[in-house]
Amino acid sequence: MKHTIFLVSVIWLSSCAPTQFVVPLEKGEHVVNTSLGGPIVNIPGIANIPIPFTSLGYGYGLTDKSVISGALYPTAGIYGNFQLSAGYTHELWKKEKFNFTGRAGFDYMLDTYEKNSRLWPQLDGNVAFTYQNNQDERADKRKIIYLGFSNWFELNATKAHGEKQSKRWFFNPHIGHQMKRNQWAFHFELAFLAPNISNEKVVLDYKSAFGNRGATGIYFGLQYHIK
Amino acid sequence: MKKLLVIIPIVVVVLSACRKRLDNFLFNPDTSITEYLMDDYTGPGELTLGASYVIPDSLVHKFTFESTDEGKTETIHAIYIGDLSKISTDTVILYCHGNAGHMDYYWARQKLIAHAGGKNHFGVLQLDYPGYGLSTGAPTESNMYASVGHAIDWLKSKGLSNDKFYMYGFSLGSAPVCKITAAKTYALTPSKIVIESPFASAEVMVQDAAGLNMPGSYFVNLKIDNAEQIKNIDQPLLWIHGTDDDFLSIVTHGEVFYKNYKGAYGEALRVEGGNHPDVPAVFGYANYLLTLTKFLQK
Repeated sequence: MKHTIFLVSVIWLSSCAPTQFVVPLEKGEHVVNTSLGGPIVNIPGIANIPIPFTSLGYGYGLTDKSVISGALYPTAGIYGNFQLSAGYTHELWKKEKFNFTGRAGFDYMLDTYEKNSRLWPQLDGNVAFTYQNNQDERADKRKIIYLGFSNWFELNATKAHGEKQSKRWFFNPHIGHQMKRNQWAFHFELAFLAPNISNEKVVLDYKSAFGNRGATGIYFGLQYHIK
Repeated sequence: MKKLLVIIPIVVVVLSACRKRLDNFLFNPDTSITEYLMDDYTGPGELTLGASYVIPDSLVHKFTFESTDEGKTETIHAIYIGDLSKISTDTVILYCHGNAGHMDYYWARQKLIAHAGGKNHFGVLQLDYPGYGLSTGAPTESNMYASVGHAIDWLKSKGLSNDKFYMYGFSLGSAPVCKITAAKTYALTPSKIVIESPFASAEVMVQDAAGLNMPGSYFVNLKIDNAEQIKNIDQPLLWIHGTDDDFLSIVTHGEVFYKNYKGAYGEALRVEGGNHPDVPAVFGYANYLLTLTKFLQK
């Protein structure tokens, strides 16, 4: 059997989209966003490429310190699945150019064939450093580097055929950069997906900075801010 | 802003309506050939055998039969090693190959099995599922089962009986073997089965790749579930799996499959260092044939 089976079913789900809100929005501010990217896999005879997951999302500044957000995933939709994520982000600490935000959320998925559904809770944290901040009446230019982690939790204790679900916690550290210019913001993120879990002996050939552990993901995101 | 909030869900819904499934990725056929080259084949192959494994031309028979599934009739190409006139009195192994290429890929395996118990002791039949090699059609789970079922019809028409009928499934081929043996509704039911490097189910493949407990239905409509089918099989089973299988893990696929077997006699051969395609070579052809022969003649 060749290793191309399920090639495009690259489904390290905890890698569907990059971090969106590493600094809070202003109260009443709206953001629509989209992203593209995913874990890198080897496609035999072609190359190592990131899988093109896509997301379409929305965020709203509840206060100057908190954001509610949600996203839908067109790539999942192509396979007949409804996938939704939602979360609440709060600025927990801020000092000069640094701030720390935490996010609690979930990812929900429902297939339209057999109506199987799953929900995975998430807990994220990010430290952001705003190294350029030029805001005045004419322009809003900001550049931010952030470092953080995303945690996914598997609620089910068993998996197929009643076997024990040994992997219950998926830890995904990441580093990223956001560049905002007026209403638009572009960001790039490099994620190290589940570096605590072996990527060997599965149908997919994941590529990882940690060799046979986890996968490396690359993501691009675009935001449009409306105040 | 309000327009965007309306447009985004619409885009998602529209994309959801273009639903695609990954079932076709189960099959990796090669249809580029114009004929089966067998010993002259030099492309990708799973095993390499020496000259001592050559089968006399008089005992190699290429033929076709028709297979009908869901109203579609396909021409299936098959190769039989053995004496056609003695099928009714011989013991025959129906070999169901893996998901790659076509019968040339597996010709060496077929020849190897034809040496179990001595050269040409058993008759060995293999076929190309629809959409593989020269067989017509496009591969599906359903027409794969149907084509194997029609191969069994062909053996039955030659006078073969259940007690002299064995099935051997490698990788993807484990699915038709388990399906047919468990069903007991085909023209013949094998009296023994050999399963090499099986997958437990499509769901395990998805969950292995995802890490998370994700239903197989998120990506495939495939119903292949060897780990459940094997519960309904009473016939003696020889399960073979490489400990270093980097495609279908012996732990998540093979062991789960074997653990669910509750039949009359089960034998497990875990080949140390064996990967997915090379278990007979790693174990050694002589050892492999000895194990196979002992099981089949037990």
